[in-house]
Amino acid sequence: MNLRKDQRSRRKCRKIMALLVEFVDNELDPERAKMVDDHLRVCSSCRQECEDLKTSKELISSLPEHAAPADFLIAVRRRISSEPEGSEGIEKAPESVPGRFRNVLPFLFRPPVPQLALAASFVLVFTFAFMLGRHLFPIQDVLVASPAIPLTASRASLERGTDEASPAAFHERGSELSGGPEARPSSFGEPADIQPVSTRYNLDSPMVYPYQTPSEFVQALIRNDPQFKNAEIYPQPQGALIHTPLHLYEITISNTAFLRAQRLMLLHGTKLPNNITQAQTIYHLKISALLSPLLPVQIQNR
Amino acid sequence: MFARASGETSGSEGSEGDDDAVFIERFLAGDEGAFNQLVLAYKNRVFNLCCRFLGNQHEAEDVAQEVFVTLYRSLKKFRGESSFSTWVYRITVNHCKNRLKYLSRRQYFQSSSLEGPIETEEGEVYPSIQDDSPNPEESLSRRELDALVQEKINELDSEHRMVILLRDLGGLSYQEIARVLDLKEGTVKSRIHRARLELKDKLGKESGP
Repeated sequence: MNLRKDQRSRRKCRKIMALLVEFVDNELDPERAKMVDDHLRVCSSCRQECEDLKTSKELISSLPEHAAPADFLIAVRRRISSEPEGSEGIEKAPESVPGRFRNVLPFLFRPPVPQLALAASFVLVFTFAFMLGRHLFPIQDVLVASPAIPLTASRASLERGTDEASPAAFHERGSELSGGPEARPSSFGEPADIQPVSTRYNLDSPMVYPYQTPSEFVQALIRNDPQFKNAEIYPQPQGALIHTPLHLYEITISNTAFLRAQRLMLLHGTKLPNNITQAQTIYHLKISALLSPLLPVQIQNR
Repeated sequence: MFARASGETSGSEGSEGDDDAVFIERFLAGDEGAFNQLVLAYKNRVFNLCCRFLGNQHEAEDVAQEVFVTLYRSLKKFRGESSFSTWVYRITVNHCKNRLKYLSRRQYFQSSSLEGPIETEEGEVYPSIQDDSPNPEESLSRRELDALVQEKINELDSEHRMVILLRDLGGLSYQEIARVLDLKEGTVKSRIHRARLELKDKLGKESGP
């Protein structure tokens, strides 16, 4: 009689156990929840198991969330543009730098700390490369600093007349500042514009070009705009990325437009507009909202 | 062009799925910005899951980035048979498991922990409990407890680890987990049951005499 009672109670326990996860997760319908609840009142082993399940669940649920780094999107974008398609296959060996080095290092030694191994391998590689380099290419005495855009090239393209914009009000203000109507070009596209400039300025002087690269120029424009006062700026070859808590813009300028901008600055002074929208019109910037619910500035080149 | 606010926080299931569909459609039509919205909507969930599964933030960051690169490349293959979030989790799970296998082969986890060692007067120690208290949480500070829980998660086998994280960290339904892991719903429930008990058991041992 007792044996049969035991068997029945064990069967009941097994039935309840199968429902315990859902009971702990509040996923049971009221009827079955009540059945589990009633059983837990009288069965200590099931009650204990229920408590254990609950504890585990609560401990994991209350773990603090690790938020992705602020520049996560930028890192993803970089990888998308730098890694060739097909290189990210799911079955492929991991790409992380430490991983790659760990692949090689066990043959040499087992490092106590992975970071140490990485540092050690860098030292080895660079020392070897340096020694080889010294042997193959004796150090040159002269270091030649070259501007990002050769001045010869800039003159050539200026003379080709590559720009197509009409000057905005800002230019006119600029031309007033830089010395009268004779300095103001009638049309930006004609070679005639260039002649007076090259005779009046020393084009090779760095003072004439305060911004040597498109990136420097775009960064200066961004910093000049009060709305991006606290934004993070990431330099890019043709411009920069601006990262604010809600927005990510890419602002770039083509080489052609940059040369034109340099010429405008030559003609009208280096005072930059303090509004990126105005700058966009004047200098032909390309503004892309990589992520943006609403742009505070108007986008025209998108 | 910029229809709505950034999806940093996840909304209700339905509207979130609708948003995803809109972003995917826009992305496939050539709008790169729409993909960024998808990254923003999922980056924390993916990163957090990778962190807790791998137990290491640097690896997690790398894997999470890989997940989105894979998504970017294969989004045109997404047929919409399951929800986009299920698909994201499925890719994340695959990447995480592969990375874990890779790291395990190199015995990486012998010297690494997500929370890292705790500095004490005797030097750096990995958190463990030395008293007789039946509840580990009673005798540890919050940070120490989190580190301990993470350490014990790292000791679970990868199937148990993933199922318990998807449920208790990701908040996925049994049905969603079944789809992500390609299992039957009953298997998911029993696996969660075993994983939770195993975790409690490991934590209990720490507090043993």
